[in-house]
Amino acid sequence: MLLEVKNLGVYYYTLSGVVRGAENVSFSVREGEWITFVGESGSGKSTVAHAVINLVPSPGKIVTGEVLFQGKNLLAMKPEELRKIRGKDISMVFQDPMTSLDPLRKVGDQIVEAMRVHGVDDDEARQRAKEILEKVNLPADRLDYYPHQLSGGQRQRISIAIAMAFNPKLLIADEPTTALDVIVQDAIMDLIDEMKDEGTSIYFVTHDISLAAERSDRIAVMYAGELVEIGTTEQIIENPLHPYTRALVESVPDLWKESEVRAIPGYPPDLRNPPSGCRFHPRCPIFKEKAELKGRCDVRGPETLEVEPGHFVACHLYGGA
Amino acid sequence: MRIIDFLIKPLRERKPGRGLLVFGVIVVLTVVAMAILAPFISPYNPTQIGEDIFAPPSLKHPMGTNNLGQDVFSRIIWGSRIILYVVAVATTLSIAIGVPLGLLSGYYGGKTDRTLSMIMDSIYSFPSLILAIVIAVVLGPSPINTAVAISFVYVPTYFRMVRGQTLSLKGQLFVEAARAIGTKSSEIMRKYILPNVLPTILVVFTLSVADAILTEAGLSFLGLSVTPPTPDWGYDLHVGQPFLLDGYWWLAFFPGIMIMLLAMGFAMIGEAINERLSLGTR
Amino acid sequence: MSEPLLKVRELKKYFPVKRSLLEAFRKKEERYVRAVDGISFDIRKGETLALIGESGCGKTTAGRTILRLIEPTEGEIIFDGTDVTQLSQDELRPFRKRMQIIFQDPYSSLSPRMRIGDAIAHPLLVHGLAEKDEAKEIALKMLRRVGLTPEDEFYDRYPHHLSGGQRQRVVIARAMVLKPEFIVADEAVSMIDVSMRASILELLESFKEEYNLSQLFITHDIAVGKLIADRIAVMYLGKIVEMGPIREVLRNPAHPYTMALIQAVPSIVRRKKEKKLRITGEVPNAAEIPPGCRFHPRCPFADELCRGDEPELVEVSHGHFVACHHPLH
Repeated sequence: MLLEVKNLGVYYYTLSGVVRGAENVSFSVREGEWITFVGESGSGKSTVAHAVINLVPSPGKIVTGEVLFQGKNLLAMKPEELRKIRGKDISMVFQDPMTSLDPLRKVGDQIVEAMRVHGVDDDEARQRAKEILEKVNLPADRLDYYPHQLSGGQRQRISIAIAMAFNPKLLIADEPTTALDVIVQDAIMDLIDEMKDEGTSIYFVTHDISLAAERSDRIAVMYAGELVEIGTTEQIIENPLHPYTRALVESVPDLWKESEVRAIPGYPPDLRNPPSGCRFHPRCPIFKEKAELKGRCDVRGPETLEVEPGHFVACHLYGGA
Repeated sequence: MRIIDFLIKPLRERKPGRGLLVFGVIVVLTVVAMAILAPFISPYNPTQIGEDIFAPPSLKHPMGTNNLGQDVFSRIIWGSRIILYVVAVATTLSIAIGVPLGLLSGYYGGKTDRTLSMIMDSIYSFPSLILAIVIAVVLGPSPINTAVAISFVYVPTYFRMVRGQTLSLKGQLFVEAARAIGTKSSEIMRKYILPNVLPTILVVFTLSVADAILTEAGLSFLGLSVTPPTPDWGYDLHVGQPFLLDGYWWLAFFPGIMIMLLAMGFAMIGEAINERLSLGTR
Repeated sequence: MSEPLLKVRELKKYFPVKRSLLEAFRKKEERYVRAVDGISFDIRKGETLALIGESGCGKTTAGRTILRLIEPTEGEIIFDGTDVTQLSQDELRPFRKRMQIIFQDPYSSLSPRMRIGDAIAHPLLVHGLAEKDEAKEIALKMLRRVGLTPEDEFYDRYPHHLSGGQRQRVVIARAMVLKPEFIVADEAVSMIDVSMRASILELLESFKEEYNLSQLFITHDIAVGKLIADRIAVMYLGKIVEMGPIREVLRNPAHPYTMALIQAVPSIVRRKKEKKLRITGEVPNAAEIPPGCRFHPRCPFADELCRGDEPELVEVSHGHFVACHHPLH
């Protein structure tokens, strides 16, 4: 197991109250696999991705849990040790590359700098920078550009180039294509796919379940700060167990699917004051239908159960009484 | 109604800046109360010349008496009327001129905007006190003239702020949406842009009031505002200042501290509102 | 077939590019961003046309120009027999009632200091369709109709109390309160959370049926287009490159760009291996439109003809138009 996350919880201490950004999140990432976290905004998918590398933005705090990377707890590490792992063994790509690139420095210098931090000397770093730029299909002269001279797609290629520099064991990609057009998105996804082919595990985060379905080995579904279902892509798409996952799969328009699109009623909850019991129950169609679920779903949070091999779900419909 | 709510609510909420706000509101309200209730709470006639000159603070004269034997406490109380009156007239005038001009200038742009901006910028680039002095000298000493002089100095502050905000609001989708439903320009400015500028006007208002208080005090210190024996903080400060060296500190001390407190009070309200607003946008 | 409600003919919108001081001295010719560069289409009563394209293709400018929120450079916009490009802003006002717009960003399309009920009632007052009390009644009904209940509670709220999905419902209510005949929906769901997109689309659809609305549905997401549109027009760098009935175009795209666009869309039922027509590069800057066919630098099939000659939009099958020298079928 490359990465094991156990019982992770992250709270945001805002002026208007404590936002329970993520709670009871446990999962693992295997060597060489592509796992995708799906959820809407506020579901905690991004929070968890940041917590894994101990980079939760203020006013967020990791309140429970541990993150074992190759057996070592990242959350208990000294900043110095963690820094050595970040960028080398674990790389990150974010939605807006403009925020992770320094606007005042040429991209080439930034790639070199990223390598220098981890002890590569300048000449070698220059050489390697050229090579990886080629790998992400950018002409070598782009090294002399400033970030603002590049398009969003090109900037994202640069940040992937930086992420690739050390052949990391794990790439965490948080909505890297959300701001991009589909054709460019597809090209960026191809690049990430290439990284996977070279042995990097991919931890991908997106709101788009179609994007998740297309390339991942496994999918994890988050709702209102909790992990509600996790399984292989086939299990999640063809046999979704959690009512939310099912609704999500049915609600996305798809070019190659003929079935009707069905809307999910209601709105996601306010995480300062989440619903009691299962957080999805106020929107859950099955809870509304079945009277016998009253007193269960709205009172007690569900346990996570392995319903079929490798397919986990947190829902009262499974696991008997 | 909504504005009042906007002012009251923050006093109750435990949010950053509450201390500042509470302090500011207390100081300002006290001075306002002093001005309104002056005839009832003032122990003496403020212009009454007495025999008891340079009496130190005592129970009889809480802030002592001055070189003419006038009760300093009474003069402080009555003096609040002048300063508040001048500052109120001055800020009302500058808002009444600066805000509409800023709105029009920012919304329509073009030549008018460029001309207006140039005029306002050139006024703004003068040192405000010197400009006010020049105008006050030209108009002659009287409270209303002082108010006009001060308002002239602060028109550009409002104008620039409102114009800038209007420019950025004009590009917002909700203004475009208002155009799409067929709203007339005048109504767009009134119903869609102005309400969104109001909170900032409030901040600029409180901060510029603080500044205007100091300007007013400065002008009357120079004898450009009221004619004696009208009680006035700035003027009293001026009169009391030579006696500081003789040990009669209370003549200058009380007017001075009042000017400072009032200016600080408004400045703190402004700070607090500003902080609150920037919280809201986060 | 009924007469189209909206006819757009050779519509152009050029934005001047600011010259540097040096360029102005050298009397360098003024350059333009040709955001919309001559587009023509019809929308019939009750029909939805999806205008599809990547960012920077000019689709948003096109939508706003049609409503004259941006002044067109050239071309005709004939709405119900009247060329609205010839009208003054005052003469335009009655037409504003009949054509409305829904913006992409529900966060900035509502005034932060206006109660949402007032925002919905205001259009009625602007057009003198109701007195204050009556307008409030209608706004309350509208709130209920778009699912914001209890409506009297929602009436008094300010936008910042609402989620993105709820705001977009307010925006839709505001547009629909005038009972328009034509709507421009500019990326109306792309900023809405996935779980709520479908319900917003359903809401639009229900209004469409109730008012027999004609829609120009601008989107970058073909899958959304497929869901709601009757016809589709694909835009690339200011021009329509392909247009036709939506199913026909999706099944048999004739333009290589349309093909690439369709294939790049992720799907939950199709694995990536089953793709694809490779196109390279990114959309060029609209200030430097390539000569000949605008798509040729990225097109795998481009030849001499494409580099020199700009293709016209021609009909390849019934109602299916394409602007390509080498259509795929």
